[in-house]
Amino acid sequence: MEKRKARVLIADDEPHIRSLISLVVTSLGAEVVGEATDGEQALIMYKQFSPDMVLLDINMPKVDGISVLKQIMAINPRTLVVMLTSLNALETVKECIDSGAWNYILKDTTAEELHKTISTTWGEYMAAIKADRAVVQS
Amino acid sequence: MTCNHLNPAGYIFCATCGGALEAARCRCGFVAATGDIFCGRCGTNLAEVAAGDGRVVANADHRFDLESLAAQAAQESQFLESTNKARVTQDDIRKLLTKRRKKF
Repeated sequence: MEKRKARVLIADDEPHIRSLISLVVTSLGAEVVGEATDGEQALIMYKQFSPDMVLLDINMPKVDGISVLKQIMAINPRTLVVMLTSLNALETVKECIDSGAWNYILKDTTAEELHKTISTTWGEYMAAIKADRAVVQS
Repeated sequence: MTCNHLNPAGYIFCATCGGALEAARCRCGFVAATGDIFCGRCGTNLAEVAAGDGRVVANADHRFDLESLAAQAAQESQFLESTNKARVTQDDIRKLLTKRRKKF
């Protein structure tokens, strides 16, 4: 059976960041199903495409990333959401993790590190899902 | 003091009758002018000192307590503010994730 590509939604108001993330995600073998330029659009696209992974900026027009994260978690708490932002305040990081973000990547990271982190994050998430299924089946 | 002479600030005895003006000395040590209602240093009600009802001690001490509490609160607020504004690195985030990441 052919493996389905992981479907990724990118939400960031900066076009060059979206391009970079898109490039990284595609190079990992995943498919970018949507690129949202603000929080409102991100929510619409999330409902429309039901992506496997959401890469979410925080500072975005209309609806901020933390509100988007909370709304996504209210819809499906098992969604893999990764915050990708330049905000490095401890309280913001804690709020995102406590709200259900699976990872929090700072934008000052290099493209190489970003590639590695997204790949690792996906692996960890899939392992957690499998472990959870094993517990449920046993 | 019974002559009701208005003595200048700092006088301990009445310049007219020689009566003790201790009532005008606040618990904090400041000697207020006769006729002053509140201590010029700590704000204690001097009428209560004159009445000798013992509340002055409590008031003066209480005032100092409030000042120290306010200083303490300011320190705590500063600390909390610095904590809230604490910046993290990607390594810090990794550590936080191991502690706080949700479980399925």
